[in-house]
Amino acid sequence: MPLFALGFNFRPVFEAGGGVSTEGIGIWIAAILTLGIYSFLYKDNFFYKFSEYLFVGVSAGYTLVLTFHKYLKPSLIEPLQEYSRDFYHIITGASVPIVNPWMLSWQTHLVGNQFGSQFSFIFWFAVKVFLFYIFPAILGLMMISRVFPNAAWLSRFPLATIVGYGSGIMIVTTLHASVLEQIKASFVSFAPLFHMKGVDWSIIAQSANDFLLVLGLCCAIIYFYFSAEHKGVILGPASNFGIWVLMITFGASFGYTVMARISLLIGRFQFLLGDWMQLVK
Amino acid sequence: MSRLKYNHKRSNYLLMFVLLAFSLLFAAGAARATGEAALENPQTAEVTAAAAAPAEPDIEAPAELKIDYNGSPEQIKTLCEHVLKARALASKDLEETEARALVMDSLAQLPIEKLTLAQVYVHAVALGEKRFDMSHNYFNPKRSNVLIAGILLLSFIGYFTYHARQGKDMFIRKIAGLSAIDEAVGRATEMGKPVLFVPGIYDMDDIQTIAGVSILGHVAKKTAEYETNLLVPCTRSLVMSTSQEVVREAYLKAGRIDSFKAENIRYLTDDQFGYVAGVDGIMMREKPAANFYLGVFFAESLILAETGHHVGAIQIAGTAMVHQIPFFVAACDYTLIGEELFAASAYLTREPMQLGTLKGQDVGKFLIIIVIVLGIVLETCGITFFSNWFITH
Amino acid sequence: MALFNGFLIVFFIVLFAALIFVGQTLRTSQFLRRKLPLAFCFFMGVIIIFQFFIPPENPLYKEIEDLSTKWIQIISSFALVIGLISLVTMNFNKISRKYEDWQYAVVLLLGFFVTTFYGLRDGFEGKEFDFIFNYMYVPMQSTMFSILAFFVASAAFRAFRARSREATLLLTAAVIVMLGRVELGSVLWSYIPFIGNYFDVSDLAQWINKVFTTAGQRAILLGASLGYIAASFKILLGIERSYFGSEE
Repeated sequence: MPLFALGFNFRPVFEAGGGVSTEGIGIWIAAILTLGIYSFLYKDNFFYKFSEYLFVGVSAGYTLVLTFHKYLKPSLIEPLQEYSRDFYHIITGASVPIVNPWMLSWQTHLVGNQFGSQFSFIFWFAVKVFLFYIFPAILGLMMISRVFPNAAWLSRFPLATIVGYGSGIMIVTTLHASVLEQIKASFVSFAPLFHMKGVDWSIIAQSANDFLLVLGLCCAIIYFYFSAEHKGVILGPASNFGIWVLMITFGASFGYTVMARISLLIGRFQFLLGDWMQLVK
Repeated sequence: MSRLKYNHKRSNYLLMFVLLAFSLLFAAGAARATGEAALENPQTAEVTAAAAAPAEPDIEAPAELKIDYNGSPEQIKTLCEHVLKARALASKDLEETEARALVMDSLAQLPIEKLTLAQVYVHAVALGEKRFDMSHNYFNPKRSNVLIAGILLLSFIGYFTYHARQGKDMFIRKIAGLSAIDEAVGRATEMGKPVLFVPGIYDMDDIQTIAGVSILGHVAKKTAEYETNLLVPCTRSLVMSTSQEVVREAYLKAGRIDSFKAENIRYLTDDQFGYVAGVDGIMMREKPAANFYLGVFFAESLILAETGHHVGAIQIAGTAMVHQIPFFVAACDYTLIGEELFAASAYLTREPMQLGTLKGQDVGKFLIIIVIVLGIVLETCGITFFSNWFITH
Repeated sequence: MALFNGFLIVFFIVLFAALIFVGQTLRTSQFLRRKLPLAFCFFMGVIIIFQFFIPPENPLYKEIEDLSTKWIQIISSFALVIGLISLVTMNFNKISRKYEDWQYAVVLLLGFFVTTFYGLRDGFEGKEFDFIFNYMYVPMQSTMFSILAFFVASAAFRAFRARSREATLLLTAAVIVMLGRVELGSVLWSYIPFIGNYFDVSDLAQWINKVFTTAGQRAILLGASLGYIAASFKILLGIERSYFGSEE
């Protein structure tokens, strides 16, 4: 109450008519949780622990919901439901429209009423269902088999599949998107310097920058050299300069990010001071 | 002696790789030449079947043909033409006359009388598809630069990897962050506090996570020797189960399987910041004396590193995320920058083959520097074909 | 509809039971335990590499891409179950054994089960799920993110006291770039004698960014790419398999 006496005008929980406002309650809860998490900056306390455990619980639940609705349902459950439903309708001869194109074409094959014509269709259909749904589901179940210590080794198969996928994709995408592109971008041309008429400082400056860039790049790459000690006439100074370049890079990106992070903080304070305390509009 | 035998087995993999690569190339070439591959893959069959469905009005058979399921050869030929016309309309790059000639030739060899209309229908569309597929290549020539660069780099890496087994001792420079692992675990033991290992926020399909997990094996070996608690909060359940396996193995090898606690390697949540909140809580309560952050990190890097510094832990971080390295450098005692993270496996195990790979990487770097210098020289001389070769599609 | 769902559930339960049986029976097979998983890994990698070189017009390109992403999605969806079992059992243990802070484990489990219940029942559109998402999940997430602002400041402050040459370079670059990004920076810069009059701090910041940041980031990227490629190569060929854990 003293806060209200001081002129604070918190977001009301009750509506003018007397009912409870969902938004009002929500904003209060959000504000308390926000302050709870900020309180961790001072020290570990009851509010932080409460918010932290709630956050972990809610976000784990959210992960499950997201995984189920976004991945498992569209890529496994729904297609299998569709197939089994259509299959059932076809063999019972129900006058229900068949949804799946595969099933639809099977139905048209049935009109021909010869086993031979159905054979290749059924074969490819089985291959497709197995490859797209049954096999990954088996791999997924192998993962869950970790619950039983004697069968836990089965989880190596899904793990190997995922690791293999990641490695394969990594080789080609890094070659494609990083190596070739970055090398191409480093091909600077010093031609303007040679074709310069008189003394053009802008061209000289540009060429000097380019030279510094390439030099910095090469030295920084040399810093990553593992199989030789960073000593001697070339490797020693080069890797030293490489470290400097890297440190300047880190400092610059640090400096760039500071401002972006502060704007996040301003966003949260806008919520606390505006939506909750209603001090600023 | 046993090592020689072990390495010999590995060489089979290389052979397998080469053979497979050749067979793939050969298959692709054969497929292109004959067009036979079109019927081999389920995709074609699916399109075929979908096209055969009367749902698409374009490809629907004329009404008079529908009645007679054992139509005459003439009727079937008309039908096939109809189908092909529809296919030609559907795909602009199909040359209609050519495709029609192909189907007619093919049908002439078939005992048409014995087929049902539906079969012929499907057959015709399949042939159309086959023709359609033949216009496709199995190799994208625009990406040949990636292939060549890949073969070049991989052959360097492969060469040094397989030459390493001759037993030549290879030098490897000191990597401060990796040398400090033992020191950090030792310090935690002296203080009687646990060690915290954070394997990043990505799943096992990222190489950085795998690199992090292989360092975890080394850290776990040390904590098993010193009998120090090792906490591994994970953000992916696959990473959790892998970490459990790796740590159990390390404790088993150290003969301390009884002090292995599976519940210390726990899953928190997949959510980035929920995970950070949880790890921060663990840090505040358990007060670890050594923190390891090895893997993929995003904005949480600094939150973790600063909280860790606040509780007074010695911190070793490593990531290849360019934008997060600055924060680790600023807030941690040691940072593995980019490639150093991947070198960890070789550095810690000192296995000849792993060291050989590292040597291959170094040759790759040398090659890159040479290519860059060459490119600059050629570009300055106004020769552009070299730099154009690097354009990616 | 319930019939099909029931059929599917029974199918998966039978499949799972069969897998467990097979897993327990064949657990001593060295071929299945060691070599076949490595072959899986290799095969998967080669297929993905092959797919990259197929032209996008070829239907096979799309088909393999589709298939592989579906596999990964389905496997990681199932894998999540293991993590959640670990989370729930651990917190149940905490409560039942009355460990320190067990009260908070109740909060965690409550948050988890309530979110899961409403989320699975209504999908993303449900009123209750929406409430949890908008007034608990999102605010906590953005608050945790915004804590970075404090930490950036404290990390920068600590860097001020650093004495090594490298740390000084890092700090100098950071300060220049920070000054260059705000109006106030230019004003402060202009008071510096001699240098301040010749060029603006934002130009200097841009120059650092154009030359040094580009060079440094490119070097890290190129080095890391080689690391990626070599590590992937080792993994595909089975040289690096520490992630499998025990060898026996």
